[in-house]
Amino acid sequence: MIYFDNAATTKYKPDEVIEALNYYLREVGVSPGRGSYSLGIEASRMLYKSRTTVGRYFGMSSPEKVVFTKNSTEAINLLFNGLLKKGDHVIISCYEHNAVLRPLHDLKQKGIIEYSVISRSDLEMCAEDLFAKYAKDNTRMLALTLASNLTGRIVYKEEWMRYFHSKGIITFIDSSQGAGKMTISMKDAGVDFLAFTGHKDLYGVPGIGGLCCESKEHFMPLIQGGTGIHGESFVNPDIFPEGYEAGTLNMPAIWALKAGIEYIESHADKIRTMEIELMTYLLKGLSEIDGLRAYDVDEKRVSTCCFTLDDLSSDKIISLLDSKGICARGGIHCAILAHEAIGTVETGAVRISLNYKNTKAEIDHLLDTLRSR
Amino acid sequence: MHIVFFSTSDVFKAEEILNEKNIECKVVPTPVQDKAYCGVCVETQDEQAKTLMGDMEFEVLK
Repeated sequence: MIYFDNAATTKYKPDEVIEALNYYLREVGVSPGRGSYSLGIEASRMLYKSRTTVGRYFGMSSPEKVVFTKNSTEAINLLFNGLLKKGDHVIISCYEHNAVLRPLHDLKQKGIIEYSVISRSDLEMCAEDLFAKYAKDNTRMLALTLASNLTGRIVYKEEWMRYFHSKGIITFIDSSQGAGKMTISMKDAGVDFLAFTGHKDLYGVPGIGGLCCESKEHFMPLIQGGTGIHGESFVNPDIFPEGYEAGTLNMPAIWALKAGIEYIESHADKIRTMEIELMTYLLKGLSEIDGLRAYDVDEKRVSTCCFTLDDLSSDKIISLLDSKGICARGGIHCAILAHEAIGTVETGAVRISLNYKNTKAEIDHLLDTLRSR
Repeated sequence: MHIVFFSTSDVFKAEEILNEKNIECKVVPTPVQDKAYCGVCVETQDEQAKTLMGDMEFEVLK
């Protein structure tokens, strides 16, 4: 079986991640922030170490300012619902995942906010021009994906973040695609908030994500419940981060996430070099197939790309690939804005998302299958 | 003395700071004196400790 759906979830995790998950379940197994017996204290210590590992990885000035959630979607909803107020305006790109689009559109439908979408042709604008075209008096936030989950194009621009931040506009990154493939310093780049998910590029397991909060801007919690502190209060205490983490945390996954990030930090060069080599090889091969159109091929990218074929719909291509033992994803990829931007709403597209553990032989098998269709 | 915090996360940040300064300390259950604080706190006999807590909100119980 050949796995080319790493943008959905990285299937093959480093041994260190599996060992960390196993260790937590076998040797610790209790919840942090609850019992004050020795094992509970150790669980809380492991939670703190995990927070600071995440925060340091994303270049935060206070690395413990991380709220854990179950995934990036929850982190995005936490921020948007907790921070945005009636009358606010938000700027997003045409490559945003539905995890960004939907909570914003929901707030728009409720008459709370409005949002503008940066068109594909404007993505090359300098910060000043972008600000002049899209910012309004009530613009509160610039929200960008790090990279497109459809074409792999890197959308995030440090220059934009710095400029908008300097104008007093809150800057936000959805790092779900690309977090493990690019180095970001929130502190240096003027990034106020960043949502991450564990199970993709960070090599964690499903069920863990979070919100990195470089800004001290106050926002409301998404859910109410037990926080392990201030039990006498009838609502969540206004204390960071516990007030935003009601309910029992997925500590086995948090500990495994820490191992995933440490793995990336110690293998970054190998991962990036290998993925660039594989993606270059894949794009060259795709360009030589008759009737195939690949998208955003000349853009700076992560190891994801997508294509369409003139004579076969995306669902049929996926079935063909599946019959040859190749896992790839077709359809709309929870990215309707991106499909509108590249003109593939009617046809869908086939996404190939690589991992450094893929091989050229696997890519050859894909290319041979497409050639002989 | 006990240094107590609102946030459990701050307890372990304090522990990290004191460990880096080689100040002997231990994370222990918070004495039942004020329910406003979280369930664990830092116990230390070194008076210098409370000067190293930075911008964290804390209280010293003796």
